Amino acid sequence: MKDVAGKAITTIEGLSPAGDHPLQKAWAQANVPQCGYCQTGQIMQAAALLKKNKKPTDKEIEDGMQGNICRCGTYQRIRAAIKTAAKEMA
Amino acid sequence: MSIRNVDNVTRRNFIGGVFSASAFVLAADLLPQAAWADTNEYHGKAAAAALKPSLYVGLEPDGTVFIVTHRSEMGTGVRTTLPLIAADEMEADWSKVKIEQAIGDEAYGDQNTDGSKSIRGFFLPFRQAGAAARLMLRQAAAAQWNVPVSEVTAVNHEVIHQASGKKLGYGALAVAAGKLPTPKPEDLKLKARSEWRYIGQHAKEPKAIADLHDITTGKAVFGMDAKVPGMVYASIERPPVMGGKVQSFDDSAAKQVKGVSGTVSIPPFKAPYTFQPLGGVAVVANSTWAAFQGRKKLKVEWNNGENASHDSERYKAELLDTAKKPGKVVRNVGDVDAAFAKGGKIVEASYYVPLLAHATMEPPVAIAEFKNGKVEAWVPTQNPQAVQDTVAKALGINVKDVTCHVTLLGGGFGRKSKPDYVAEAALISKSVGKPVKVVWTREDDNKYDY
Repeated sequence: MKDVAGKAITTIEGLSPAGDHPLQKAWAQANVPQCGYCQTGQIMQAAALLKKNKKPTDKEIEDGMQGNICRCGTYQRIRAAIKTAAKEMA
Repeated sequence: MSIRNVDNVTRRNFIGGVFSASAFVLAADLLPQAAWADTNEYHGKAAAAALKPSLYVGLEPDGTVFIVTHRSEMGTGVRTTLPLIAADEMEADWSKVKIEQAIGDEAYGDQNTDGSKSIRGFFLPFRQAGAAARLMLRQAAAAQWNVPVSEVTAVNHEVIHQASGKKLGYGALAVAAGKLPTPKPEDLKLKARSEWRYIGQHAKEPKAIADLHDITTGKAVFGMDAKVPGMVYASIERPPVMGGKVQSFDDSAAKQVKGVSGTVSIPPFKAPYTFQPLGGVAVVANSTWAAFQGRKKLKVEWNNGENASHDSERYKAELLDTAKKPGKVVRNVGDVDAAFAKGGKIVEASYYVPLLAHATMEPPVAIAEFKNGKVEAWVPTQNPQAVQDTVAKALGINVKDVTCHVTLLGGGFGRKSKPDYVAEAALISKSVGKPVKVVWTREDDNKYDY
């Protein structure tokens, strides 16, 4: 927690006012979520990744999304959606 | 498959006030599909005995169709799929369908969303519910236009009389249709496969899961997100050995933690060990974090009971020994020895896995409020009727006095068919006189999963 003390934090609620950030649109288009429990975290981690790397390779997506577990196993769709969003944001 | 009875339900509050007084509500109380139990021995008798589906489709005069999903959503999409099936047979416009999650009630039939059987078990009942609504809407329109029912068709939320060009929307027909006698199952003509509008159309025209937008915008309410006014939080120190109990405890340091309001003893587990609260000491606080911190300061002496000498390694050795002993043959096809004797490459391996936790991403969590001898609960559960049963038993109240609302589930995998965690919340609520949210940590889930 001390790593984020005093810092501004963007959560899923602040990603876009209408819920139409390119990642959110790509997530919907690819029907990424199953149970959905981890997905807000996945989207935010993807947003952080795309902020640093506008055109990540598969390997960079895998590395950048490490540590965020989806028990439903939606990883392939997550990767596809990140690529779609990256294209739209390019 | 046969319909036991289908009748019009006009009681407004029957399913928690979903429908307005003037809504046309169709209740179909249906028996299991006789054939499917026979086709798969894995499901066998239990499913055949327990599966008594009951479903509800309601149409409001404004054209809104409410379809109640009585099964739990944990990532399979069933909360969307079952209503799509009914909507298809009803010829309902999907954009006018609102999905309502059922509370636990045996009137709905089997709600234990387990065993991959929601669609197998409820495909036909949901089709029949939709088909009954469609027929009644056609009958209502035909009566209004004074033409034979056979001359009117229902297409995408409208009933049409081709010959005269007359049309009426479903909403306009809702009240009249609701006054008609409900058709018998043999009078229902289900759509031909070629007429399906939604069923099996995903590749051609995908339908998003109902909660997609809420999930991607953080609005979806899982059990972990649920809140009720005046709620307090609890974290429970449970016995280190199954069947153990609290010998004594000192909560003085725990009570010093900011936000902690007190502790509650939960009665010990009683054999047979089947999915009851495990007992222990609950720390109650004004936040999950405070409850966790308070729990760390608890000092508990345990009596580990009859399982104190259980040794996992010895148990493993016993299991491996048992696996090598001759078993009961349940299936014997072909001649394995003869086939092996023919040569080729033989690969042999032994596998062992320890007892594994289901590890739902959302650990067990439940809110329960005990008030005036009744319990209301908000739970990510696969089986709200089991919640009713278990909570009623734990508190010594009637099953009908337990209301279980079902939230979205952050994974289930069978773990959340078992409602021990809800009984914990109810017991603590009874003690503190407030709604209580019991939150399991990841460590609790790994340690106390069954």
